[in-house]
Amino acid sequence: MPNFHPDTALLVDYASGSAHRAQAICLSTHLSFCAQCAQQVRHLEELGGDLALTEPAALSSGLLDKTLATLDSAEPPTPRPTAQARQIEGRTDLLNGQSALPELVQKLITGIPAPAAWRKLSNSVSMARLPTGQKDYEVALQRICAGGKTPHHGHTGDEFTVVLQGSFSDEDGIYSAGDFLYRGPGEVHQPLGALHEDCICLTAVSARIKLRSWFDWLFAPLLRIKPM
Amino acid sequence: MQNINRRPVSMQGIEPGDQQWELALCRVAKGDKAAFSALFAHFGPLIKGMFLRASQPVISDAIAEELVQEVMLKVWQKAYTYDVKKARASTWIFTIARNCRIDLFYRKQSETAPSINTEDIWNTLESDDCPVDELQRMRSQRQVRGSVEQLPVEQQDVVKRVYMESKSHQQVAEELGLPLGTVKSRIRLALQKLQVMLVN
Repeated sequence: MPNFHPDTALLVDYASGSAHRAQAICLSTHLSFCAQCAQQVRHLEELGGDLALTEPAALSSGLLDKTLATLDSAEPPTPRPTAQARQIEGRTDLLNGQSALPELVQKLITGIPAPAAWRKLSNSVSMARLPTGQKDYEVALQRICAGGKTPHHGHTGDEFTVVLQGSFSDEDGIYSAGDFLYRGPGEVHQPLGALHEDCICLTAVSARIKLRSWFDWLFAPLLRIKPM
Repeated sequence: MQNINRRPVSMQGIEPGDQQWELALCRVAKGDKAAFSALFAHFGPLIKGMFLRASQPVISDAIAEELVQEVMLKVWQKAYTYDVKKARASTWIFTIARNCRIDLFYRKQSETAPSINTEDIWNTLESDDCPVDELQRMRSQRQVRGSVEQLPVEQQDVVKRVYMESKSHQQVAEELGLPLGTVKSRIRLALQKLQVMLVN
């Protein structure tokens, strides 16, 4: 069970459907690890049904008949395949064949145009961008190799992180699978990989990251966001 | 408000009252068009009302009706995945309508087709393998216990903007000229009073 969770307001944005798509991808990924937040979202959706479906607006006459007429030509419902059958093939080259990832992340990975895969940002950090159909955030997988150090960096925008495999730490704690982190504008941190294994995270970054030292500027071109 | 006939539509064997719509959904799952028509008569206008109040995107009357058809068609197609133990009918239909609105929003914005669709990101309580199963078994059918009308005005305002106008808490903060933290705490306080907070 994860120890770091999104704040309630973000879960409300997700449940009401106003969260940005990139945020929602991170939230949804956290929910697949966290039964408690998933249950909280169910309650928030229940509230959504109670509040949003309260004030009727008259329908034009004939709308029901028009809809009824489409039912028979509509595709018949097909049962959803079981979780096992839904395991997505291919692109496992990205993940060293490690433990299963949330379904959503697997689907995102299939969207990576081959043969693009991990791109080195530094000796210890690589990144694989994920196409998500929006332009405000760069959504990517980031891998910090065992014992790796990332540049000390601050943010001019938002950064959402969900740990998928392994763990990393920074000044505030140790994060492992399912943990959800948010860093806002002005916050500075330096993630460090765990010593014994690689750490893979899903990240969504909204604006250019600000680096702290002249040395870090060497990485600057690599840290500019490029949504796809 | 428009004058709508909200008299419950009765169907053979389904009495108006508790779980009326849950039962109707179960019948729709078996292909019952009378049950579908009853659901349409009740939820159709409510779904349209929800779309007309939405702010992202702003939806015209004609588009709202197209979306009502889209939502109700999904209800027809997906009713077999509805699990009466997991959600009330209104919750389930809300999540389908919400996803249709998000779809419309991104259809307008996005240029390339992503490898994922809205329902991969916003699940609609159909999966049989979600980790909440254990918790869901423990929970019973539940109405929101508190009433929004009993909340202090400023909390009501925030909750309504979030849920009825589909604005993010950040947008609400900008709109009201309030610090983000103030909006967050109003949301938390409101949710606590409405007893929808799992942990305080």
